[in-house]
Amino acid sequence: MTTTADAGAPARSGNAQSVHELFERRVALTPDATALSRGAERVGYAELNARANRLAHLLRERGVAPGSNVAVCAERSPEVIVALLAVLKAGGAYVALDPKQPYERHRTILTDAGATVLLTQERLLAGLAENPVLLDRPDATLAERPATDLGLPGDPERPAYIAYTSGSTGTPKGVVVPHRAVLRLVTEPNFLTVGPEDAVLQFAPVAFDASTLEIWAPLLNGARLAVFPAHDPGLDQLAETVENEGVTVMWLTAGLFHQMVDGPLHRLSGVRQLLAGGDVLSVAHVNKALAMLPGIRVINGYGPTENTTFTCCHVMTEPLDTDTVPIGVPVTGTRIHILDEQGRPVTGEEPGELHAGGDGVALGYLGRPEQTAERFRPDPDAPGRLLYRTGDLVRRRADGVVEFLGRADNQVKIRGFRIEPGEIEAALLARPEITDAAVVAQEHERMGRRLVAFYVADHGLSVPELRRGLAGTLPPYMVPAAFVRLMALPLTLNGKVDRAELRKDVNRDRPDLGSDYRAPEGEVERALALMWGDLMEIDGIGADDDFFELGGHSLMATQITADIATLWDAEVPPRAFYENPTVAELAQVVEELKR
Amino acid sequence: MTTAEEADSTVCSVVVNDEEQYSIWPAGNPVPAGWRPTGFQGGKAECLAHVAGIWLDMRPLSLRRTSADAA
Repeated sequence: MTTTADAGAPARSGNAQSVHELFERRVALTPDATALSRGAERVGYAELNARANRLAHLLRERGVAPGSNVAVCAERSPEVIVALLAVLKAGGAYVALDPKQPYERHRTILTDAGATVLLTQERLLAGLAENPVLLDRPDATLAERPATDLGLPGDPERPAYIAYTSGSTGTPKGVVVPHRAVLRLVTEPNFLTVGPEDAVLQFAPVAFDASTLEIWAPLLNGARLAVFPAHDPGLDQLAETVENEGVTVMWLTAGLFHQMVDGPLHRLSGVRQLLAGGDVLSVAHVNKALAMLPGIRVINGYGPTENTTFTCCHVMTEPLDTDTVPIGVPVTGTRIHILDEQGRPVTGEEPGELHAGGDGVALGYLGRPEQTAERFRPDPDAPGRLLYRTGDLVRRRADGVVEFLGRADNQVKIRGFRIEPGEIEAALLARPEITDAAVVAQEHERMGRRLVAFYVADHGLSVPELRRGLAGTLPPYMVPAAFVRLMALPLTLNGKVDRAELRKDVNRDRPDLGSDYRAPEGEVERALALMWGDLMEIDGIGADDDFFELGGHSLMATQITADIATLWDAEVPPRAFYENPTVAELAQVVEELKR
Repeated sequence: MTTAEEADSTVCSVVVNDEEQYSIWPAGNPVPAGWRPTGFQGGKAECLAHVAGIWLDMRPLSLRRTSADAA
């Protein structure tokens, strides 16, 4: 059985062949409308276009041409949007590097993408490439460049961006997304309405494909893109920006959505459409959002990067009476097939693997023919087109709505980030002391899922040292929360690592840290140690133990901040965790705020 | 359930479309419209290794042509 939403993005986009052409048409329609906002800063459509054109002319002189991959490593800002548009106008594809990820990973990606030009900000990674284009210190000659459109012929099959995702063989792989796939996501989508009266929040890192929707849905539909400041906010700051910017459409990853619903949700009353996803949403939180924000549409957005941000969406205006939040129906321009192990369509409500076809399907993995042919297969319903095997198990209900059941392989989601445990295992095995390793995700009652690394070595290794080593090459969300040494990995009857067994092997021992154990003293220290231990699933946290060495992360810090506020009526700033990372130091901050 | 783990023993064909994109397909099943067999058959891993050896320019053919015009 096949579900079809109408295909043919170029027709819906008024025959625009590319993202920047459609943007240029918007500029012609409403040159004075606001395209970007950040606080008091406003950039109109015509001005944004002129700035992007000048930069695009400069990029052409630097050798950027159709087929070039151009790296952009910058913090969220209006300059980044100018840069992305300029890359497309010059014929290139942008490769966004997340400034939070380690330098070594950036180098790997730059080499893999063959990116010769880097657009960045002075304070970031100017040293990563020779002669980078600095977005925050524009070339003096930029103002002299023509502000006119370049007029290069667009091609719907030309890559618009390359999004790197975790690779099971140990290195990240670049998903090549063409212009038509972006047009298919944002032109007349069936899950969202965006028009000139809307303001869409830009909050997702550009290196993650939620940004494709956030950036191009407003700019190709005449709406305003409200750019969130560069720093990592607390929930209240996020809600305050949504209020101040008059945001009507926003995306939150599942974990942050749940925290927002449990926190300052009432401040999102101006939001008309709240998209959430990247991981499984809870029915209770969706229902609470619907109850507290009358008139809102909550949209569960589901989809792998290989099918351009969303594959299915479930739009909700009424509370759910089901146990799970469905992923809904295919988005406009997408066909889905639910196939069994032999590649045959399943019957009725039988579970099967979701395959995605249509205009959202990427061109494959950059420079990886083998992995591309493995995941992108012939589409039996669309002559000559590709069908992407998602690896996600789903079931179609009798009413046509699709439910997500789980993964068919080892891939896991941690705080919305997609991770191949194989990539982390390869990084562990790169250390000479480690002879075997397996990484699994364990479920936790309060903090959701966390990564636990099991390794085999002659002697126990220092956890902070292991964590530092991995953090040098892997993004922060791929560094395991806990490390457990085993004499040997458990095996199944057919000799594979028994991951199911490892998922159950919950170890709550305090890890081998850089600090000796010192018992927490006083009410605040003891309460904080228990609070951390609850979230981290570690018994006996000491007063001098370091939040990050124990495996703490920003989402956990947000939760602890909320718990501190409830217990002691003290507002701890987010930076407190970086400046005062031990139990005793944080307790000191709380004591001072209590007074 | 191991839907994603296809049996490596399945005999596959290497197939190609008009854009010169390569993929694999179970041998013996009719090849979908718009695709043709290259003639190479073997286990899944062999087919993928074969693809790695022949699919050297991964850009769709139409894009290679327009890029050549633009250059």
